[in-house]
Amino acid sequence: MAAFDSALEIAAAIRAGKLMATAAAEASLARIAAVDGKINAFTEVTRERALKEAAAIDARRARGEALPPLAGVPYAVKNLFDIEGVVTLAGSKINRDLPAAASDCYLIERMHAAGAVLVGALNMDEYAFGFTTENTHYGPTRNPHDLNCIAGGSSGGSAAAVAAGMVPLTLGTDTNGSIRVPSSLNGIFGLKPTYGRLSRVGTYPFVHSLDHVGPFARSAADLVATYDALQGHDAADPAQANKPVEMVSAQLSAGVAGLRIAVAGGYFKQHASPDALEVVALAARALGVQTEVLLPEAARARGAAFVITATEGSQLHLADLRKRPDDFDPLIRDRFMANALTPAAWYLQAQRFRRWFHAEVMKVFAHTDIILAAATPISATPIGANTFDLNGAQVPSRPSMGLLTQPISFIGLPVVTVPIFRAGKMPLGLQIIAAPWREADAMRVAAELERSGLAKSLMPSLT
Amino acid sequence: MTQTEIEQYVKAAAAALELPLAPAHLPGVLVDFGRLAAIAAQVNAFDLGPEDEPGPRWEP
Repeated sequence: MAAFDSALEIAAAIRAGKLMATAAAEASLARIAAVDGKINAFTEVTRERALKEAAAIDARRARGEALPPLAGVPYAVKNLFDIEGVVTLAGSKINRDLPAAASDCYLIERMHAAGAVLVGALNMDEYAFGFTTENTHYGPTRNPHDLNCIAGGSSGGSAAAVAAGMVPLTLGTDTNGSIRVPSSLNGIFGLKPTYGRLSRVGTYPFVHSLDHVGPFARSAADLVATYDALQGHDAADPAQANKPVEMVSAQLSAGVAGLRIAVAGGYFKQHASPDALEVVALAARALGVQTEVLLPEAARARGAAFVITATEGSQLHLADLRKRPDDFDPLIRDRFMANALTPAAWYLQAQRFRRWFHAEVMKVFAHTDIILAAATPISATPIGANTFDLNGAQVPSRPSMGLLTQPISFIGLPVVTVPIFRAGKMPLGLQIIAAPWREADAMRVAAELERSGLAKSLMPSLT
Repeated sequence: MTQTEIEQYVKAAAAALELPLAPAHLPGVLVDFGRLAAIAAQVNAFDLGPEDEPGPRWEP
């Protein structure tokens, strides 16, 4: 198995008897041992479990059983997903005091049912509060395409592990952009489904009313195969919508005929660097898109997401902020403490504005199926940078990487992020935004851009 | 909010929440609350009607 083999190629090789699942797991573990010292994506390697799960797949094949779709495919999860027998760190020092998880979270159960092999847990911003994965407790995760740069966050380990070829698939979470930002900066594919689509049970929360879960991969087909495997109704998740499972893999080859695609203007252009605008223009040209749409009050939508995040995210940790503030990551402790003081009136105004903004954006979707926007204002910044230049203004780097993602997750829209590489430049991703529950539309556009040659993941040199 | 109002509010709200603010943490907390207040002011300035209700999903 080569480092950049796709998940579906690995599964097909195992199904055909050309590759043992055990060999695939060993290859992934060897790659982690060889390169993660440079990247720092993994906080835990579940070697014993991986070899046991892989051996079970090999045994099933030896018995002549039909194998599930991701049989023998190595994967890993952000370290806020419960893994049986492993402490769910959620990027924190404080959670080390908790007992190990008694069982796997729902999505790991789904991946197990699909035959995938868990090889470990991945680094993240503490309690998912950040866009950079500069974690003081566990060290920064480094961008495989430039080891001096951030991997993005908060699912930085999830994106870097895929980009560096350690695993073909990972899982992460996205509250304000934590799948889309690291997908963009590491040059890989990521899916943030509609809010309420996938179960979050057994994942450590950040902001209950904004938290999403989703997959990362290096191709559209791998991404959607994982998404299909993750779907299922979980009565234990109070936020999961009562929607039927909708398999998307078979729709990937449908092309984009009939889809009305537009570029997001206004706020989404004003907060994008020339680099980010170039990425959107390349995608628009490849798709033959000339229409532009405006999402009204997008700046306020980002502000309202910020206020909701501040309030819910800090209230969750209020007891520890009182008792042991010095055990929080110093990069975020003061923000958590300030946010804990948010007046209720601000929070409720933001939640009420959310309803207004949703109604306005639904008017846009009455005449548009897909909206394109850059995923990040710029490409990856150096580790440790406190600010970056955005069209002549110095903006704080840690919150500002989410400027273009926050207004979208604020109302729970599904988004596929696809990687776009240009010669001599770091990757920068494109958001393909669809109407609620229309993940399939976004995936069709992602697959079309991949077929055109524009959207693709490239192997890093790791030097 | 002025800087003075921010400092007064932060200290009073922290006391009401029984959240100790160590001298080493206070300067950073004031900066961060100032940023939050500026962003919230933009949201708070938007006129909403009584029909604009929050949409929490709760199915008892």
